[in-house]
This record gives sequence, structure tokens and C-alpha cells, in this order.
Amino acid sequence: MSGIAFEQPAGGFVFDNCRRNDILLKNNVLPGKIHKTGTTIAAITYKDGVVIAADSRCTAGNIIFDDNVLKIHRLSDNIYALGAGTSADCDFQTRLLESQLELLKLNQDRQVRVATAVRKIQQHLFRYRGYIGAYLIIVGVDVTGSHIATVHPHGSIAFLPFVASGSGGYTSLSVIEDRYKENMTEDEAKQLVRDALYASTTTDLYSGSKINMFVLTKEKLDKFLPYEIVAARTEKQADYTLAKGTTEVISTNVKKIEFDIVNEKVKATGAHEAMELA
Amino acid sequence: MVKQHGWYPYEFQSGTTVAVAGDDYVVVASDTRLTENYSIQSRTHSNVYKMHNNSLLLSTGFLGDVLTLKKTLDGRIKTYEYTHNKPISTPALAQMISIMMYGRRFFPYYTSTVITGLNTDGKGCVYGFDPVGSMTEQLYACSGSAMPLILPILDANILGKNTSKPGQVKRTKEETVKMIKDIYMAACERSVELGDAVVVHTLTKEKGIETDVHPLRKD
Repeated sequence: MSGIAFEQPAGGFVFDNCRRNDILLKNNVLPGKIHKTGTTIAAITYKDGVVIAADSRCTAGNIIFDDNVLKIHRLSDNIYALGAGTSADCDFQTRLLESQLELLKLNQDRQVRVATAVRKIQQHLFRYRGYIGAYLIIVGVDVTGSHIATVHPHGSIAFLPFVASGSGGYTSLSVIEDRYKENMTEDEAKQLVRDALYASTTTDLYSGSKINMFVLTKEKLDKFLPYEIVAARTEKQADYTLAKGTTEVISTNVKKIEFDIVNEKVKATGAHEAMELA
Repeated sequence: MVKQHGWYPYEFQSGTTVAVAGDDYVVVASDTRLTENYSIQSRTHSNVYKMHNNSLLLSTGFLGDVLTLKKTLDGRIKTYEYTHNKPISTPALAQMISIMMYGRRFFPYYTSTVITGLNTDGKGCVYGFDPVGSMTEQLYACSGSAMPLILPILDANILGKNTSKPGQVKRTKEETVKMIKDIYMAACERSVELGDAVVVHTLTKEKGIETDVHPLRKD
């Protein structure tokens, strides 16, 4: 007996839940808030490669949802992506791209190029008319050199020597525009990116916590997780440990779970021999 | 086709204030971050205003209305002092605020106000208002953008609510100041609009107003 065990989805958006969602909204069941990263991400090229950095805050409205998010996604050994915009979109799109690039690498038996990754994601996003809210920065070093490309949800791209994106993007960009020069040393580049991120984590409400940084060259990949903690958790002045029993126990119910021994297995471990010798 | 009007008379500039009344003191606190949409307008703007009769006014919301309310109140307090030959007491001032704010019922002061001070017996008192002047005397008050984060902590720590030991926990003013600083530090971790510093004022009959500025996260 043969048959298709797994049917490939047709692709594109699935609208099955729309009717259910309408009914829920009518009954005042509020939909969950979409988590946005409200981010700062920045990347610059320097003499030997690229330096990329991101903050680590994820917000839902005005509440900080997660203080320790990694916004740097691996696409391949020599290509990385920074994601701003809707969290889920960045995560899923980069993961999809990562697997596609791996297959491509195995098929063509060559290191994948940055231009390939950018073209693939651009064509994918265009088909979704901007509804996938992924503002990505794709960086990498390949045989043609080091590249940085910025990708917008509608599918537009730009290859640039430096770029910053996200809600704190403008702040970072102004710092970088002030001090960027071609062929910087690695230390200069790291300091510039750090300063750019520091400016936006302190100015922009929706960026903050830590600065994560990667340095990517032809030879190496240096990961700094984190490169700097912009604002650490502060120490409390008093002790707020709740005494045992603060939450009132209203009722206790002890139930014996009936069980039967189905199978018994005795396995000898090395420890037995060691014990006998002693 | 109805034309959508693009001008809205109010803006929300965040800020969170806390006030706790004690037996012979009042502790008030405010964060010092003033925001506007996505960015910070000031890191040193306190939402606590000292009034002429030695009460402390806490006001957050739309800064334009906050400052106007304060200015108008100052004038009214002076007038009271000249006509009655004594400074206005805090409970009387609270009543005055309530009536003033309801006077603008149809174009409200877009502020969450709290007036605090020592009443005629020397006890600390805290009065909270909504934007149209509904007044309630409270043991403690919290208003502003991070109110949903801070109010439950105050409930549990001051009145023992939602714990197995309900009932007021008495604290000295030093302990209250410590607790308020810790609460702000905790709320900072979760609110984007809270940060920079918290200014804590303690009002007592003997020493007047003592101020303490405690730094918070800057991101």
C-alpha cells in the first residue's frame, strides 16, 4: 500500500483560522500581542571583514518581554543575519533561509555567497507583499569579499559599507556616520559599533540590556555574547523573600497512583567491579 | 466622506509616582524619565511638585496640563492664605483640587494626580484623583505608566493583600524609602518607560522635606 504520508503545504498564507478569530473577537477574547523586537542592529565593514552587533531586548507594547534575546542568526558559517521587526518573522525566515542555503551548499559544493542569500530572501519576501515584517541585515565574507546588505519587508535591498536598523537605528547610524572611515582596524571598528549601540540602547526606549557582537572575517568568527552589559540588574536594598506559607493553602488532596510493574531489568555497571576490588 | 482630524490636544509623557502615608510622615517618589513616543525627552524631570503649603503634588500624564494645574493651584493656595490668614491644610487642598478638576469636566486635565502632606493632626495623608477630580483618601497611591506593575507589589507589602497574613505592615520611614527604591528597581526591569533615576522625598513635621535621588537603569 502506498500513498503520500506527508502532504506538502501549498505555500503562501493559510486563512483557516480567520473565521475562528472573528468569533473570538466578537466574544471579546483579545488576541495575543505580537512581539516586536523594537531593536537596534548595526553592521560595519572594516579592513579584514565585518563587525555586527545587536541589543538584546524584546518588547510587547511598553513591557519588556525578554531581556536576553539573541538577534544574530546564523545563515551559514560565513553568513549571518541580524533581525529587527516582528520577532517570529525574523526567527522563522532566517531559519528557513539557513536550511535552504545548507542544501544549496551541498548541491553546488562551494561556499555560499552573501549575494545568493540576499537574492533568495528578497524574492521570498516580495511574494508576501510586505506582510512578513522582517527587517534584516545580512552580512558575510565570501570569495568576492565582505558584504553587508539591508533587506526590507517588501523585498528592497541595498548593499552598503555600514548600516543600522530597528527603532534605535537612526541613533546608531548618526554615531556611525560621524566616525566611520574605510579600512578601520578591528579595534576601531569594534569600538565604533559599541558606541553606536550604546547610544541607541540608552536613547531608544525599546532597545537595551546587552550589546551582543560578532566579528566575522575570512579566517575567523569571534562571538562576544555579550560584548557589554549596558545596564545590569540592580541589587535590592532589603530582603523580600516570602515566608513559607504566604500563599494560603486552601485544600490538600493526596491521591495514590495505582501502578503495576510491567518489566524489570537489571543492568551491571562498571562500579560493581571497582567496589569488589576495594 | 468624513474628514479625519489630525490634531489631538493631548500627549502622554509617562512617568510613575508612588506615595505612602505613615503615622507621622509621608514618603513620595517619582521616576525622572520624561518620554515622548519612542525616545527620551529628559532624564532629570521629576513629577513631584512642592506646593506653598508644604504639600507635595504628584502629577503624571500630559505635561502641559500638569504644569498648568500646578500653576493654577499655586495661585489658589496663595489666595486662600491671604483671605483666611493661615496656610491651607492638605485635606482642604485635596477638596479644592477635586472641584477644580471637575470644573474642566468636558476638556479634562489629562493627568493622574495625587496630593500628599501632613494633616492637621500631624498624620500623613494621601489623596488620589482621576483626570476629572474623583477624590479618594488612600493609605498609599501609585499612578502613571508603570502603575499596573507597581500597585500589586504595594498591595502585598503594605497591606498584606493576597498573602496568608492580611493586615497592615507598619514601617518606619527609612524602611519605606528602601522598599520604594527596590520597587522602582524591579519595575524598571520590565517597563521601557521607567528608568534613569528615582527621586524619593520624605515629609515630616520636624525635618520638612528630605530628598534622596537613587540612580536606575539608563537603557
